[in-house]
Amino acid sequence: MFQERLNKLFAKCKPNIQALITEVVMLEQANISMSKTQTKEKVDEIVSRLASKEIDNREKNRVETRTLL
Amino acid sequence: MIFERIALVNFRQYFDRQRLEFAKDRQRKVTVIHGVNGAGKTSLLRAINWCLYGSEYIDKVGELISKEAISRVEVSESVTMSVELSFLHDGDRYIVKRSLRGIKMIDANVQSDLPDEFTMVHMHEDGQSEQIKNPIGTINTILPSNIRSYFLFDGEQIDEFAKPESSKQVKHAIYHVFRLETLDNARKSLEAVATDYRRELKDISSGELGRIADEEQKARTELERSENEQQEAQEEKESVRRKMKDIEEQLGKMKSTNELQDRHDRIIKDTKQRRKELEDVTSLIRDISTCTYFSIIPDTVKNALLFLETKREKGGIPANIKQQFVRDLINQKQCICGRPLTENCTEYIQLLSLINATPLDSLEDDVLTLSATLRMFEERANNQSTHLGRQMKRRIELLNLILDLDTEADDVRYRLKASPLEEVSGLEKQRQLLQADMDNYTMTLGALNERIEKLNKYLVQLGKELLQAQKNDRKQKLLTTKLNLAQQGADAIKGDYQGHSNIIRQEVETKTKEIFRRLSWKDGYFQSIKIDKDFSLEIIDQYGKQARPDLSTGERQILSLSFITAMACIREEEAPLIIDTPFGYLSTEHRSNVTKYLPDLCDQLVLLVTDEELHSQARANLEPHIGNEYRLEFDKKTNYTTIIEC
Amino acid sequence: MADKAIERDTIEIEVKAHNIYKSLTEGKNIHNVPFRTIKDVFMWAVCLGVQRGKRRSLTSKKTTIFRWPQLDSQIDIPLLKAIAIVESRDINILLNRTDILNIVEEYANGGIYELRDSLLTESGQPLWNLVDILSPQSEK
Repeated sequence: MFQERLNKLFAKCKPNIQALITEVVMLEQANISMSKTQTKEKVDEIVSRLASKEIDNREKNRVETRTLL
Repeated sequence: MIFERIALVNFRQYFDRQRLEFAKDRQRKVTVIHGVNGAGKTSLLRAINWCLYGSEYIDKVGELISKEAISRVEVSESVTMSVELSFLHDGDRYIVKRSLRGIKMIDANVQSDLPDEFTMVHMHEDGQSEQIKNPIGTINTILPSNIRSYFLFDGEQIDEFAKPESSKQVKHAIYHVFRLETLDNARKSLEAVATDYRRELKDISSGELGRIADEEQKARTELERSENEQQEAQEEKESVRRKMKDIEEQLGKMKSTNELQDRHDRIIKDTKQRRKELEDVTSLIRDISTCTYFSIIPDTVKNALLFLETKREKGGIPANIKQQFVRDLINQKQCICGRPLTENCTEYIQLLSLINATPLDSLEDDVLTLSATLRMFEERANNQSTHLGRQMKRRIELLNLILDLDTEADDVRYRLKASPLEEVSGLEKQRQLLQADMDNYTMTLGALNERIEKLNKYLVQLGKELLQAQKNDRKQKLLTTKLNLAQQGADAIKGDYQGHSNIIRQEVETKTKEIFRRLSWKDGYFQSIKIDKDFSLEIIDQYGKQARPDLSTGERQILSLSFITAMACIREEEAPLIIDTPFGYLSTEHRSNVTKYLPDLCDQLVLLVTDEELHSQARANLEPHIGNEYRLEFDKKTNYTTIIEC
Repeated sequence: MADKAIERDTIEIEVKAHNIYKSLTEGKNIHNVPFRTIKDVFMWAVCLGVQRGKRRSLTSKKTTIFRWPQLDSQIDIPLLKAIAIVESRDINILLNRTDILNIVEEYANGGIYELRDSLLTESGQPLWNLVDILSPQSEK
């Protein structure tokens, strides 16, 4: 499977990078016939979403750490 | 992607509805479709291509519609052409359909007013279907259009990989089949967005949060101070107000003092009046009593009267002409004899002269008068007595009234003494001073209130700015994270790309060698297959030399086929291999080898063969794997093909 | 007929009684000096003299205090006449003013001291003493 191959390829990377690459590659594959601008917009969407999630996780961890302290 | 069935409607020489089922069994995965040249083998391939990828990849749209179908409609009537393909992918069933509607023109050509319609449906196990929103995209993820030629191809043209200038194709093939292009596109996209983020970050100013936080702190400190001042001022004002209230109460008492004073004055006035009245009454009493001496000798008066009466009765009064008697006669106009008298008669005049001649103070008259007068004394005395009595009573009343008034006045004076009036002006002054203080505090409080209000407004504004800065900060945070993510992603792809591509190259190289060894009959002759860094596909002979130029057409085909199937194997995604005229240039040995090993090298095999291609050993080799077999019957009369199951 | 020329029209008293008359008429305070006129004092003196039967001849030096016309014709003169009649028991005295005067002057001469005693010597203010004489039951 292409996904498996991708995962194998980027196994060394952080999970969020892996997730990003997978999503973007899938997007690119699907949009192989789409214009570069449209694809870029969609890539931005993916990046934004993953980045927000990352920030939220960071916040949550920070709060939890504070609580623990 | 594993094909299930295909249905053609009016596609080229396939008039009306024609369909066939593809073999997809693990063991029997080969579908053999026989047809002479022109029967429609290539059209079938085109049909599959057109269905999946559309007209971009087909020459002329107009020529796709069955001429027979066109001929059977009138001018201006429409004719529909469609190809429907059902396949399996990752355990799911999909049905794709592409249809085209055209209007027959006068010149018997067909003009289609609308582009073709492409739909994709995902069939669920329970029979429910779901329309795929992005069919093209979905197809591209399953079997991208840019690699279709490695799965659906003309057997006689597959030698291109083995051609001397093949490196571009090889690279291209590997690039696309293994989605290296996609990976590279992904990298490029990530780089592009990273650049955008970098640019955006520059635009957002930093350090805002700190500044606003400082401002807020300052404002809050100021606010607290002002509020404390306000509190103090209010307390002071309250204290002043209480003092003022006390004074006002005192002044109020003063007011009642004034009232007392007024009352006192009224009493005095009243008293004065009464006293005056008393004086008058006393004066009256005096007048009465000093004149009523006659009343203390009533006996004397009575005796006198008695005496006079007796004397008169007894005739003790001298016999003068009684004036009274004469007066009576005159009044009655009567003579002494009783005869009426007239005013001018002699007797009347005589009587008158008698009256005039009689002296007024004659005793007779005196007695009469005296009696008359004395008789009135009793009554007079009574009257005076009553009068006096009344006045005396009034006097008592007045004396009592005056007494009461005096008592009242004393009481009032006593009370007046308790609140001395002269303090009023002092209190008034104090009150004025306090009022001035009040006014001052009111002004101060007014200014403080204003300041506090301003500060609160400012804090609200700062709050908004803070939110904005935080938003910006958050935006900044987000952008930074995004940038990092995108950049790292791009770098990861970049970093691994070369390595990845190398790995694939090597894998393909190895696999191709393996397959080629099996398919080729010159085993031992060829030492190795190489796909070097430049992606040129090389055969190394036993002598270590590049043997490609020496390859026969068939051998080149085999090499290409090996490469293709190697790619398919390494790709690890199910895909059918559809070869049109696969064995055209192959020698018998090659044909035999290919038919022997090819079914195991792919997930599904569809062979569009001429009769000559598939016979004897080749046929025998394929036989265990053939699942479905069809014949394309072309009717020379009707010019259309029918698919017939064998 | 009475002789008018002989008729006296002056009213006389003993000089020594004059101060009593004065004290009962001179002064502002009506409580202490109740009488407005000497004539009133005289009349009171006469009545009091008659009431208490105190007739006294004028022996010492006399003085005129007022004249006959000052007497009230409705009250004073009839009263004096009545006193004269009862005293003399002679109706003709009515024609003799002098005789009347003699009688009443003597009564006044006796009565003035009574008046003095009742008003001035007696405790209390002369005015109220006078009222008392008039109505002994009435309150002060």
